[in-house]
Amino acid sequence: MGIELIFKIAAIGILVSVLNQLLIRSGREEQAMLTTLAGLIVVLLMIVKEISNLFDTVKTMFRL
Amino acid sequence: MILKLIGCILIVGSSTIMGYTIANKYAKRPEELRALQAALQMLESEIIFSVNPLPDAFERISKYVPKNIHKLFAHSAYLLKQRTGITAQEAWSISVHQTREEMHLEKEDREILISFGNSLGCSDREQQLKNIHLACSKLALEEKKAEKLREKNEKLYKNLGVLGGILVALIFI
Repeated sequence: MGIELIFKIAAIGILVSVLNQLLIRSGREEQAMLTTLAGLIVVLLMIVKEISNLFDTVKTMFRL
Repeated sequence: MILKLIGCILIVGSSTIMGYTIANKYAKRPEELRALQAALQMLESEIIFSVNPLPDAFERISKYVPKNIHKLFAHSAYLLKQRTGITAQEAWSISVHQTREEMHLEKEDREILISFGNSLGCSDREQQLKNIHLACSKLALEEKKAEKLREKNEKLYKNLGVLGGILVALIFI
């Protein structure tokens, strides 16, 4: 877990939003939707480890 | 670190080239359709005013048309000049098939060209003229469609190539 992950996610977010705009401008709403979804899934896959880490931390904190 | 940088540059570069290639295909097609119409007009004047036989007419046309459709006429003139008993229709359709790789035409465009060739050189002057006009108007219709597609897709693919490459590189880092 470092600052790089946040930067990476931010960069992907910017790129996906630009792609989204590009596709909508040229009248391809479906593909734009698909791109946004793909970006979301990629970012989720990146942070899934961190989320499980967080859950573990919470568990150990409250001794569950 | 350096290796990663080189990999990223390669990915972005190749996807950019891919995008530009696809955009190029959309940009070239209307141009070629326009050139083909001009060439058919030239053929019409060859038939009506100069009354040249088809091999000579094709050869003369191939000298004046732009480079991208030059080979279509040059090759059919060459085939007809061989005097192997080949008909104009066969020579035309063979050269349409042969130049498929070099030209950026779609299947519909090639079908128009081939159906134009089917009545090439087997009727009188009036019929030829009508046939040329028919092919021209069909090509003009296709050109309009191609122009619309170009407007829609050319810029999109150019940008998509670059941005997609950057996205893939970012995910890989």
